[in-house]
This record gives sequence, structure tokens and C-alpha cells, in this order.
Amino acid sequence: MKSTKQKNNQWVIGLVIAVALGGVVLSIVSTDRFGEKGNGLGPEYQYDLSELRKTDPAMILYKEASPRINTGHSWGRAIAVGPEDQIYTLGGQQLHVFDSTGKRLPLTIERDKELTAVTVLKDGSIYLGVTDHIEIFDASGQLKSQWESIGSGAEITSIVVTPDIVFAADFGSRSVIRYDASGQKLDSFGDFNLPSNYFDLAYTSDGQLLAANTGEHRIETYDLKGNLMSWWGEFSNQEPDKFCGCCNPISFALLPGQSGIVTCEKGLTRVKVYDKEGRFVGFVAGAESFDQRDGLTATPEYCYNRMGLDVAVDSQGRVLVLEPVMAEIRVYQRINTDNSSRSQGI
Amino acid sequence: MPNQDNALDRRDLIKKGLHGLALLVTGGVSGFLAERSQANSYHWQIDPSKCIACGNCATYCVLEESAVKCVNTYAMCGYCNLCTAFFEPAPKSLNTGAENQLCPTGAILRTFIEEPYYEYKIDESLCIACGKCVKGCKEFGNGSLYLQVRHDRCVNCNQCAIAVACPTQALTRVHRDQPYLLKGMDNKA
Ligand code: SF4
Ligand code: SF4
Ligand code: SF4
Repeated sequence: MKSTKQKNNQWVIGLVIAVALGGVVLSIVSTDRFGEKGNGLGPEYQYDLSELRKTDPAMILYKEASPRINTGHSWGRAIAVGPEDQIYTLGGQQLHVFDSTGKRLPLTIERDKELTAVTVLKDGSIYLGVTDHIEIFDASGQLKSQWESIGSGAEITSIVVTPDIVFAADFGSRSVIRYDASGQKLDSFGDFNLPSNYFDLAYTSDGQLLAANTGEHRIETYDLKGNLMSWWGEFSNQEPDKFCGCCNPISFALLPGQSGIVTCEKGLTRVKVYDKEGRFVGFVAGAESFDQRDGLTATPEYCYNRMGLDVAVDSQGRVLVLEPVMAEIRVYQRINTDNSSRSQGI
Repeated sequence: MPNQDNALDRRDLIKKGLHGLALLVTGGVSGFLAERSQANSYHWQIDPSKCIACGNCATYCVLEESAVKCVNTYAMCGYCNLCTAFFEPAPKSLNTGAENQLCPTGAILRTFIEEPYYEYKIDESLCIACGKCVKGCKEFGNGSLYLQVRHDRCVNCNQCAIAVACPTQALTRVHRDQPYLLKGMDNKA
């Protein structure tokens, strides 16, 4: 039998533990984790993008069509589509491959430097930007060719392969390098205004090269010799048909039949569609879809670790957006809006 | 002479005791000093990978003018013409008119370098550490602007008042040999 003194001691100990636990719970609950309790500063000191992040629902032309695909990377860097709409993703030093339904295929390529760009040809050949040089693999993942390094500081952010010329966007030199098909460097062109390491390219079926000159907020068209032919795009944070922030669009991809261009932006993280003349058509996904609390922009490391979206389009016109922080692919499909005037654009 | 030894013992004891006391005092003082100097060997600093630029740094420092200031790591800066830390999110036009500037105290200096690059410097005497530009830089730009405790201003409180108020526990103790947690391509904070 316990004495009254022992019982009292137990009560005291219990009370102390309860108070301590209560204190812990209270401090967790009352911790101002997002700094929302206010800093006592006036409204002129607040930075509020909430209005700019709102999208007119009538402008949203796409919806997420299937569950998100987990790429298995710790963060995602680049995405491309290959034969049979296979999906190729880069994260860190690895390339992963998925079938068109998102099922992971056994092929993995791993190199000892960061993989920074990927392009896949119709025959399944994989052109990889391995930070400062290009490597070519066959469809089974066998290394076929390794080209010379561009030099220290180089960062290949996009590769375009045409029958005769291979183009590599090099963020380091802010220029596009031209190679012949065997990997011999021919020359380079452009003095692009690139405040951050996003520099995307695409190739049109009528033989022109598109390049995102992000600091100028433009998509520029070049002939295959590197002569600037035309450009479109301009800056605005308020007008949704323009490109926001210091440097956008950070990535883009062509719709089937080159009927239009899908662009991704950072800052106001969003995905939009333009027709091939550069007229705004609508949104694939507005900035609300990439809410801060999703972790995309809430982390201070954002941008520091190249956390912007990348995009590819498959043969069915599905827009595949690689969201880097969660390392997931979001699959968007056009909503059937035949009676919408905007749908006539593309 | 049974007591002689005892007397000597007592003298010895007192001597030893005094010696011990002296040692204790010296030890205590030097221990205290060592502790103090050890405490002085450590400073409060903001870990930029944790800071969300909530603005508390501007108002919670015990000093009337916060010891925290904004800094720019030039190796990360895009030198953007359209600096989103310098310009309001919705600027009326892209010039240095006060109405277009994001910093409420006008603490960011914009200098033309060469087409299309501009340098951005913080005038620390005007910066109050509100973190508004840090957010602008982080949201759209490269995140090269961030907040640091400036040790020429900080009085190194035992318990930093900002550390208590910081929602992300971004304040940490750093050794005086490396008093800043600098962002940079090779020096990820
Ligand atoms: S209180 Fe913390 S989160 Fe807020 S600005 Fe200061 S260091 Fe950053
Ligand atoms: S916006 Fe705030 S933190 Fe930035 S320079 Fe101005 S006063 Fe300092
Ligand atoms: S230690 Fe004291 S003086 Fe220094 S930043 Fe913190 S509150 Fe301000």
C-alpha cells in the first residue's frame, strides 16, 4: 500500500509533467511559424503579391488530367518527351524514364556531374547536357559519344538537335554554341541577357531556332546560322499576357503541329499558352496552383537551387510540368472549350 | 608536544586554506573571464537559409536602430535592369522615381554598370531591416539579398531579442572567426 506522502509526490510529479507538456504544446501552437503575427511595421513595409497571384478562372484552359507523377529525384531539374510519349526527367546526376502513363521504366542514367539538359530524338537517342559538355546515349542507355567540355563555368541548359547542327544553350557564356552532327564546335552566337541560369531553346519544323532571352522577357527566333529574325514578349507584373519578374520565361515547349508555345514563369509561378505569333491565349495553370505553402516558393532556398518549373508537351498535346521542389510531374490536358473564343487561337 | 603538530597543522591548514581561497578566487575570476570571453567569442547571426524576411528584425532588436541590415552577395546577383528588389511589384515606370522604388526608406542604390547591367548597393544608414527587398529578390530574382546582423552595431546581448521573436529560429550563434553566414555560389549558408 502506498503512503499518503507517496501519493502526494505522484500528484506533484504528474502536475509538473502536465504543466511542462502544456507549455511545450502552447509554445508549438503559439509559435509564429510564418511571421504572420505582425512585425509592427506600417503597410508600406509589407510585400504582398496576393493580387498578382490571382488568375481569372475564365482564362484557365487546362486542367490536371491524372495523378501527379513522382519522379523519384530529390529535386527536379528538366523534363523531355521521347518516342511513344515516354517521359525523361533529370534531377541531380540522374536521368529517370517513365512511360506515357507515368510508370517508371527500368532505364536510369547516372553521371558524375549534374545533368542540366535533356533532349530525346524520335529514335530514342538521348542528348544529355552534363553541366559543361554533351553526352549522347542510345535508347537502351549505352554511351555513344562524349563531346568536349565548353570550359569551366559552362552550364548547358538546353539542347536542340537538327539534322546538321546541334545547338547548346550555355548559361555560362550567355550564348548558343553550334556544333556539327559529329560534335565539332562550329561557333557560337548571341549575347543573351540572362540574370539567372534559365535559358531554353526549341526548334520549329520550318527550320528556325527559338531562344528565351529571359532578361529581355522575349522569345527570339534565329535562323540556323544564328541570325536574329524576330522576337516577341514584354515585361509586366500586372498584365497576365506578359512575362513577369526579372527574367522570364524560364522554360517553354512547342504544342503539337507548332500551333502554339507553352511558357513557364518564376516569381509568379505560372504556365501559359501563346499562339505561334506570340499572342496570349490563356493559362495552363495560374500562380494559385503553385501556392507558397506548397513549398515551392516558401523556402528561402528558392531560386538558389534552381527551383523553377520545366515543361514538355507530348504528341497528344498534354502539357507536362516538372515541379522541382516536390520533384513531381503535373499532367495538364486542354479543357474542351470549343465555343470559347480563346480556343480559336491554337 | 602533542599540540605543536596540531598548531603547525592549523597554520598549515589556514595557509593552505588561504591559498585555496586565493586559487578559488583566481580560478573563479579567470573562469568568469574565460566564460565571458568565450561568450564574446560567439555572436548572433542570421542563417539566411532559414530567414523568411518576416520583418521582425526591424522591430525586435533592443537597439533603437536595428543591428540587422540587408546585404547583397554580388556573386549571386543578376545585376538585373528589372531588379524586383529595387522596383515595386507593379511599378508605374522603370525609373528611379520614389514612387517606383520598393524600399520604403530609399536604402537601395542603383548604379548603371554597362548595358543591360545595374549594380544594387545597400545604404546601411537608411536600411531598417524590414526585409521587403529580400522578399522581392527571393520571389522573382536570385535571392542574392538577405539579412545579416552587423557586428559593428550589435551589442551581442546574452539573449538576442530578435532570436526570441524569430518565427523560423533563424538566429544562431557563430564564432567570431566567422561572424557572417554569407550566401554564395561556393558558400551555401
Ligand atoms: S525575425 Fe527571423 S525570419 Fe524574421 S527577418 Fe529576422 S531572421 Fe528573418
Ligand atoms: S527594403 Fe527594407 S531591408 Fe531592404 S534595403 Fe530597404 S529598409 Fe533595408
Ligand atoms: S543581439 Fe541584441 S543588439 Fe544584436 S541583433 Fe540581437 S537584439 Fe539586436
